[in-house]
Amino acid sequence: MSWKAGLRVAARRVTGAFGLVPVVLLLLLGGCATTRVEQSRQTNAVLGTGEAMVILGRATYNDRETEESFTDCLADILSQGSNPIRLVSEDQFKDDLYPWFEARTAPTNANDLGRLFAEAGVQAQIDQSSIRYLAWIEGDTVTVDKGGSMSCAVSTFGGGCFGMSYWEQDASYEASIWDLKNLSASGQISADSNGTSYLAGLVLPIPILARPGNAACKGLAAQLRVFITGVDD
Amino acid sequence: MKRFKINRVKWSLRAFSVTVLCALLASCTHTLTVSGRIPTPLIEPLPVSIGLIRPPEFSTHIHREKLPRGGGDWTIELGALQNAFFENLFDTVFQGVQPVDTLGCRAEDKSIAVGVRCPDGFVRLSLLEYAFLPPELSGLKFFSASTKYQLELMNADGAVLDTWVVVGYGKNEGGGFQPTDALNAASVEAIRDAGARVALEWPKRRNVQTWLDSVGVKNDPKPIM
Repeated sequence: MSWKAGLRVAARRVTGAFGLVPVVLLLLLGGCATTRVEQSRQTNAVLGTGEAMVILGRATYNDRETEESFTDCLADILSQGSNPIRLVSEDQFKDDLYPWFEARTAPTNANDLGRLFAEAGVQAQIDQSSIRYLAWIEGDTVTVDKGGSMSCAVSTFGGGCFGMSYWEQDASYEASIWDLKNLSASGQISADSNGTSYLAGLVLPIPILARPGNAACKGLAAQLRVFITGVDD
Repeated sequence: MKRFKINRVKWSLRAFSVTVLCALLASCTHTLTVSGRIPTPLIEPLPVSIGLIRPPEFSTHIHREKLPRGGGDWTIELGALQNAFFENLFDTVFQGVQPVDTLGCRAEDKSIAVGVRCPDGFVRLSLLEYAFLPPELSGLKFFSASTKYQLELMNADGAVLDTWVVVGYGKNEGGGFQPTDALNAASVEAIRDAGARVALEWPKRRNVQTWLDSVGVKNDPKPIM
């Protein structure tokens, strides 16, 4: 039997009499992550007409920092939808306000805003861009558990992967919202998401991904939109 | 016919093996010309003029390193960006900047343009060291880079008033297939970090404050945030 025919027989045995339906169902059911979003609000002010927001990922000099992909995900969601928010990009903001928002020099809490705005040119630059809110995003996605085993082999008679491995991820993020008009903290929103992904080896490797980072992004973005605009999407 | 088929398969396998070998070898060599945005600092310039001295290799600096444990050969061209960055930075930190090759304001010195007032002092900027670490060696999820510069402040007579070594640090999460992009971002961040320290911390150094007082500048050193 040629290797192509062998692969066809193996795939037929995997999918069974119902074809690919069980495999597709397994893929759809497997992508689940549980998310919890909490909010703490200090002021009731919302974004006015023409005002903008900046999303900044908090960078520190240790081995953990907020992934750029997470802040990009937030920016993509918030700038779209029926109630889009005008965003100033993180790169543009940092360039316009250089050197005041580099990792080493950025203010660490809202109480430092008063001193920052006393520096020449800072207030004028913020007013020029009509930036009202600044959202600092802190957190990351880590793998908390993993196990199982998978082995893949290729030979002249055919090949495939066999086994099952899994990994559990925890995505924990917090957004601190600062009001640049009142120079104070407006509130905090936290999003925690947990999910387990699987990689099943049934001749072909079949990933069943939970994507808690993506779930945390969607949850945080939805709550942030309500917080900033006062309107649900 | 059968022999022709066997020969064709043999040659196809050989061509495939050579292609794979070339791809593996190419993936071990990395060349990067560091490039990025050059922001203009949002600070009040010091009302002094300086002569800025940079060694010739500052603008053409290339870092070459062979990393252990299969990290590959790296060639990183850093000079062009750091030169342009610090030129822009010093143009904003000081009211007047004259690029010069040597110290001094005597009549026979040709480094100061004719008719131009002698600067209040001289600053010599040099790159002492550039270093980087990929995730494979650090065990972390990102590329990191550091730049170490030396700033020497000299008065109009050429006497050294202050020597300061400043280190800038940057990091960037690296995707497995984009190592040069991640290192580029980390290197740019390291240069920006060093620039931020020069703009905010250097004017507040005691020797620099003394020099500013001596040239008649009243500078109120606000605490660094």
